[in-house]
Amino acid sequence: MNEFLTSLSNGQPAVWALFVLGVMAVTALLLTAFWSGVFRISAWFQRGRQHADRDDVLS
Amino acid sequence: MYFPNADVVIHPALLVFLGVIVGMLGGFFGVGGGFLITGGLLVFGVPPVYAVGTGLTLVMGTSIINTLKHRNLGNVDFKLGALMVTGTIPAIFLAEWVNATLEAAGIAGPVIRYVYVGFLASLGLFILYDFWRTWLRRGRHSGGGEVITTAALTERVRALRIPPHRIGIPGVGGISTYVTLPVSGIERISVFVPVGIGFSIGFIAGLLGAGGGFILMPVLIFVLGVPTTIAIGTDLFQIIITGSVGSFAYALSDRVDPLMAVLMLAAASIGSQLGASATQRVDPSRIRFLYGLLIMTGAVAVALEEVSQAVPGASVLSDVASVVLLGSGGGMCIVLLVMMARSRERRSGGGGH
Repeated sequence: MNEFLTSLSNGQPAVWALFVLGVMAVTALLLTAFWSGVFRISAWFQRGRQHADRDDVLS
Repeated sequence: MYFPNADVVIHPALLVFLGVIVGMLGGFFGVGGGFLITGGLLVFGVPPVYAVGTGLTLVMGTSIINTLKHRNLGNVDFKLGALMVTGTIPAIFLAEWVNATLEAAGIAGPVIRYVYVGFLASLGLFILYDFWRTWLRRGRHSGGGEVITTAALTERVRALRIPPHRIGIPGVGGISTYVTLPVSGIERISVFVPVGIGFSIGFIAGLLGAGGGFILMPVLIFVLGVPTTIAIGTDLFQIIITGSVGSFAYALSDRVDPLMAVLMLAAASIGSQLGASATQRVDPSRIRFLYGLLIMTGAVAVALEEVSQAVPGASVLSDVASVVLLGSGGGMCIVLLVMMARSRERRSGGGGH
C-alpha cells in the first residue's frame, strides 16, 4: 500500500493530488454523517427521557 | 507519531488540540483558519512548505464539515455562494499570474506582506468600530434585525443597476441579470454585484496568499447586508472551492501530508459541531466583535513574522507570532464555550430577561 502511494505521488502528481482531495472530501462527509448520527441518537434518548419523566408525573 | 510525507514526529495530542481550535473557530466565524493552522504546525516543527500545504488541505476538509453543519441550521445561501464562485476562480489564477510577475520583477514579498498587515489591522479596527457604534445605538434602537453602521452603503449596493439588464441565450430567450436571494433577505440584486465581489475577494486573497474567508465574511455583512449567520455559512461554502484549488496546487508538488490532515480533520469535526452551534446562541454583534479581535491578533502575528524576517537575529519573533496566534485561538474557544454555557443557563432558567 505504502509503495503504491509513493509511486502515485512520484509518478502521477495529478492523480495523487486528486486522491488527496478525494480522501479529505470523503473523510469530511463520513465525519459529518457520524456526528449527525450521534446528535440524532442523543436527541432520541433525550425525548425518551422526557416522556418517561412526564409518565412519572402523571402516575 | 511519525508522519512520512512531512518527515516529522509530532505527538498526536498536539494535532488534535490544534484541529479542535481550528474547527471551532471555523464553524463560529466562517473562516478557513489557514493562518492559524500554518502557524500552529510551524510551532510543532513541521517544515514550512508542508505546513502551508497541509493547512490548506485541512481548510478544505473543515469547510466541507462546517458548510454541511451550517446548511442544516439554514445558514448557507448556495445561490449567492455559486454566483461569487464564478468570479473567485478566474481571480485566483489572475492573482497567481500577477504574483509571479511581481516576483520576477523583484517587487513582491515584503511589499505584499506590509499590505497584508495594514489590511488586517484596518479590517479589525473597522469591525471593532462598528461594534462600538452599534452598541451605542442599541439604547435608542430596540427594533428587531441586525444593526450595522454601513446600512446606507448596503442599500446603495443592492440598488445598483448594471447593464446588460438581460442576456439573450439562443433557444432560451432573454434572461434577466437580476436575482432574488431570499436566504440572505435580498429582494433584487444585479448578478454582477456578487460576481464582482467574488472576483475582488479572490484576487486580493490570491495576491496575499490567503484563503480569503477572513475578508469575505465582513464584506458580505457590511457591503451586501447579509445577516451575520448567513454570511458565515455562505463564506464557508466559498472556502470549499478556494481551499480545493489551493490544496490541489500543493498536492501536485507533493507538499501535503494526508495522514496529518486526516487526523486533524477528525479533531476539527468535534470543534465544528460546537462552533457552528454557538452561532445560534451568541448575539451576532458579539460574533462580529470577537471576529474583529481575532483579525487584530492576526495582524499582530503577521507583523511579528515580518519583523522576524526583516531584522537579523529576531527570528525568535516568528515563534512568538505562532504562539500569539495559537494562544488567542485557544482563548477565543474558551470564551465561546463560556458564552454557550451562559446561554444554556439563561434558557433553562426561563430565558425571560
